[in-house]
Amino acid sequence: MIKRGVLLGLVVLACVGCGVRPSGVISGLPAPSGPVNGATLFLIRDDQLVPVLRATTTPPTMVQAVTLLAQGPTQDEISAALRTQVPAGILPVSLGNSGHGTTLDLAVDPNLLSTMAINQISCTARDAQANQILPITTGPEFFLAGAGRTVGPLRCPPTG
Amino acid sequence: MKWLRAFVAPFRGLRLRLLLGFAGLCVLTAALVAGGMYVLARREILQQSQDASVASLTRQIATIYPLRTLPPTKQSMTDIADQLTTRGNDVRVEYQKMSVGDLSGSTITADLREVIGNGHMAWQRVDYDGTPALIVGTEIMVTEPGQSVRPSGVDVFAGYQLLAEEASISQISDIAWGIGALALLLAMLLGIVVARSVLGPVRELRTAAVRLGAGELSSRVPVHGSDELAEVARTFNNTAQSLAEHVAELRRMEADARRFVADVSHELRTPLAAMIAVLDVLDDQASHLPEPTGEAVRLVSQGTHNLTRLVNDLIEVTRFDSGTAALALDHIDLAVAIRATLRARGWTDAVDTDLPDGIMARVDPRRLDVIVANLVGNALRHGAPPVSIRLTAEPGWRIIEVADNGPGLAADVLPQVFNRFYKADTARARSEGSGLGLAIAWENARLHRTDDRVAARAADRVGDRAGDRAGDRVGSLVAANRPGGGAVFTLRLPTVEEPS
Repeated sequence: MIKRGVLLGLVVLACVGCGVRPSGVISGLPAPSGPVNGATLFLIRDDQLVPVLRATTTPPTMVQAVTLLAQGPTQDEISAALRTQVPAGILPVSLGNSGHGTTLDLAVDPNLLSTMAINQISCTARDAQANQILPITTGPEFFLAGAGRTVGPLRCPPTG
Repeated sequence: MKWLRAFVAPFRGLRLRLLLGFAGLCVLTAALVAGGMYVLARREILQQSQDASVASLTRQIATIYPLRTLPPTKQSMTDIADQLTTRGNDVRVEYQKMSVGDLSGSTITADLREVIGNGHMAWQRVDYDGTPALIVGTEIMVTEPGQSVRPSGVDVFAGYQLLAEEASISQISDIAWGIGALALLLAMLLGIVVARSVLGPVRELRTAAVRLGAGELSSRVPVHGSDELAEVARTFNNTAQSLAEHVAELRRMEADARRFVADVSHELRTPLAAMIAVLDVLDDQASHLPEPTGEAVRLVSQGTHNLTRLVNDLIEVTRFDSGTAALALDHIDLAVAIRATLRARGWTDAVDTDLPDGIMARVDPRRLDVIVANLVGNALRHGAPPVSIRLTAEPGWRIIEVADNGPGLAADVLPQVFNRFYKADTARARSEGSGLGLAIAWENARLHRTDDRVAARAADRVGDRAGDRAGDRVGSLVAANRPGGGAVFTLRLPTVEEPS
């Protein structure tokens, strides 16, 4: 009986050890998050939409953000393997109203743009939407228009 | 093993068991208490340190917002690393394959990266270049203007050294060991004290029991207190008291019986003497008396002589029992004395003798005569011829052997042959002997003893240092069977070698 107790004590001591032992991974709170100050543009890396933060002096409007997107990636972004499928030819863009929701008027027919390019524009526009107050007549839907054609309503697909 | 045995020798038995018990209990208690406290304290110290480190890193991370550029450039990552670095930590900032900072990537385990990839802060204690360190990691998240939170792809890790905590914990363990050792020492001392309090009475009991066993019936134990040991001591005293009373009673009864025998023997002697005188007269007339009166007179005469011998033997025995038998020592030639005995009994022709002359000894001639006559008489009566008697000498001893060629003594007779009234042949109840002859011979042999201290002094005077100085040497009479058949009685008498 006593022998067993002593043995148990020794085993406990041996298991616990002395000093500071390495531990397993301890998980805590959700990762901290904070605001961004700049325009969030969606570029493409490996056929995936990637949000990119571009420094701006003020939070950009929807038109400003899409204009920045159409101007293409910067040198840093290109070196980080980021690409775009949005042609510079869509410029100039302007805010329009289709009567159903927010509409961006492009310089070209939106049907000519690739699906990826349309996703880039709609995601960038959605993020920038929060920065501006839209006319009260504007609905929740988002459309692209150009050369008399309209595409939409569009949704920003989940990004990876 | 030998040194260990030598070490524990004074602690054998109960004392060792008590000591081991106390020490074991102390070690177990100290191990459990100190070990438990140690584990709890260590957990608490590490917990606080980890919480502080995590809180510190969280505060530092709050200062890097708002982010301006994603994906980060090398420069912006370096900026973040500089902002996160405080005194006492190493920082590493990673974005995909890029990394900056002075914390080595090898300290970050795959498990930690996996948990961080799930969007949580996480930390892990690791061995960092031989010192314990805490690695805290998290991914930097960004909150979009639309309030949606998404990962930025930037992971930050901060390593904190745990040397101060290790020192505190080591101090706690040192204190625990010290207290444990002190407690063990105290437990051993306590064990010794308890063992002494238990073993003291036990030793007294043992001493008293040994004295009692050696015949000291007045041996008693002091009774201390009222515990179980005191109860045992009281029981021992009562038992010893009762034993002493019983033994005294038995001794009194035995003394009474002996006195009765002695009294009876003495009372019988006077009428027997008168009867012998009358019978001597009648014996002379017997041949002239008509039969069967003459035969009757001879039978009465024979019986009366036997009775007289029995009474004389009884008186002799009572002298041995009462310790009044005294030796009348004389320096004699043993061969001459033995021949005289044989001649007086008319046995000279019936016995083969080997009696070298010149073997001298200080013995009681009358008692030697009694012994020799008894042994030779027994051999002639119960053994078969030839009966032989042999005298030899050893330094300090004289040996007389009486042997016969009869059937010898049976195995169950041998140990009792010197008992009083013991008769090997129960059918031979009407023996001529009194049944006391061998017992008297045995007592006579034992009566011969030398005081060797006196003997040694005598030997010193003449420069002879031979001889046993251990104590008195006592004469003996031993019965045995010879290998070739027949009984042999060996009489050994001690003697002091006289200077020639």
